[in-house]
Amino acid sequence: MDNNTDLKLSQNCRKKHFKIESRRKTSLRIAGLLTACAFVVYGFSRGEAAVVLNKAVNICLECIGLG
Amino acid sequence: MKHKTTRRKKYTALCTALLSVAVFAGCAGTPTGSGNTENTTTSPAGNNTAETAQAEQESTAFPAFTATDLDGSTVTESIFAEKDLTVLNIWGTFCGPCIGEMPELGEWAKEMPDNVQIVGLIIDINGEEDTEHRDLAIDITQKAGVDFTNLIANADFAPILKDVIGVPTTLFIDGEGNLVGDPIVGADVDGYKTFVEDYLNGQ
Amino acid sequence: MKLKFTIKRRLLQFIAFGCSNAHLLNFKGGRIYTGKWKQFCSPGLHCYSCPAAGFACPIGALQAVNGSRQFSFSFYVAGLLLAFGVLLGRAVCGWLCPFGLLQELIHKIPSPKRKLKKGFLYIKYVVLVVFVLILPVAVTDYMGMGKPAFCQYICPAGTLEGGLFLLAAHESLRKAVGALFSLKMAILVLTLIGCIFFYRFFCRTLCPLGAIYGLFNKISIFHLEVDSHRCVGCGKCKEVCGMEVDPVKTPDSPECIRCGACVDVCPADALRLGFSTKCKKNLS
Repeated sequence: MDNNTDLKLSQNCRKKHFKIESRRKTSLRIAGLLTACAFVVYGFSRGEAAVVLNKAVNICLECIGLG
Repeated sequence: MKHKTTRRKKYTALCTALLSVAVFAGCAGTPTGSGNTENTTTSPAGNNTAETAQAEQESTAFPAFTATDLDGSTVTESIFAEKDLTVLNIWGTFCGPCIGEMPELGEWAKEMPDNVQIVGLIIDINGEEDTEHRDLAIDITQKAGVDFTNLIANADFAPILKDVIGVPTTLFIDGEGNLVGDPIVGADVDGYKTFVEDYLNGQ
Repeated sequence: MKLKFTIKRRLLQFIAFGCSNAHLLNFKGGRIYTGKWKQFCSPGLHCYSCPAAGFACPIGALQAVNGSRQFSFSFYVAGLLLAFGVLLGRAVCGWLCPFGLLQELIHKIPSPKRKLKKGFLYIKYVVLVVFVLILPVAVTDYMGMGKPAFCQYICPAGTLEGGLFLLAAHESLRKAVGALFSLKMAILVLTLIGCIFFYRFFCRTLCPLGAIYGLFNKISIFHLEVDSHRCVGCGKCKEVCGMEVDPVKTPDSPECIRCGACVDVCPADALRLGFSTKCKKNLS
């Protein structure tokens, strides 16, 4: 009987994680990653990475405390 | 319980060590100084690095150059001979503090004595074709109300620029084309003014 | 007590530290790396003015683009943060951030260890909103350029990794030190001292990057799971947690850095840390 209960519990566990929470989480994750890709591509294409590069390769006196 | 006392001693010692290192490092070479006795061993003795070359800059001549300014005119090192002292402000269009101090420099240029001039040197215009940065630089100088000459840096300036770590850096050059004093790094117009005053008074 | 995650994580932390700060030779001349890789951000907090840094700092990059003349919002950096957040959430802090590693090592210095009052945890959100997001956009000069306010006034990583090393190498920089540097040094010293007594003091109270990643903990793919059927309620996980999270109550807490200490200490195997969402297949 213990085995049956255990099996049911584990199935419930699996069900709970897969069916209810997982679905919403998965869709949020997918949406997030797609948005992230879109943002990165758009940002890159309009030259933002060049601005980052420019800032990063010149010693930022402000960043190191010399204003 | 015995461990507690030795542990406490250990961490007190470590804390003190950490603090002193931090304070020492932080106060190294502070010009205004906050009464710290810990920086007595720093400044003069501290620069055994490649900076000894900079200390000898007082007798170094500014390298000869041929450059274009933002108006398109050609300028050579003879520009230094026109005045007793030239304040060379090295800046870039990417640099916030440089752009921030520009209006003040523009004002100062109008008020400074007749035997002193300011010349700007822009380091991020990459040659003739780089109209983007050139136009930006022109825009900045116009918005800042700056009339003084701004040179576009090229390979001729390499010997000077290799020692320039960050901008704005301001150098001072006398009428013979020699560097005088120490470079001032960071936007410090008051610092430049003080140096100029002291230099002229010392003449 | 297994040490699976403790060891794995420490190893990866050092590797990540090495990868994002590989240019060690630059320390000698006091130069910084100027190659194309610096247009990419590595996920942890580090200063791109550090001689060894090979990539850009996401917080610095965010302020740089937001404060630039041409843009007021960086899609590029936001996209990267979104991606790191969804994939890893605050596991970046626990596994990849160099400054996080530094704080953990400092915490090993023997001292009485203290717990942090909950209110302190909110300061980092204020820092994020005010210094990282608002100030670079709102306070601009006549050319429309804003200052990187967090980098400039607060970031101890910048003071330590960029400031101290560059100052050590260049006398001209040492002469330029003024009140701002004293402020930043004070913040750095306070942070370091704080880290001795409080686990990851900076991460919990000040780090805007941690604040951002923490928001994704609820949906991050790399996450912590509690098998409530196995949990015996012993409370060992809560005790061992450096970030003072109760993994059973709030496994998705925005403070959880996914260090795995709770997983390692759980006597009932009730906690899972990883990318997959399955429960354990057999309960034996």
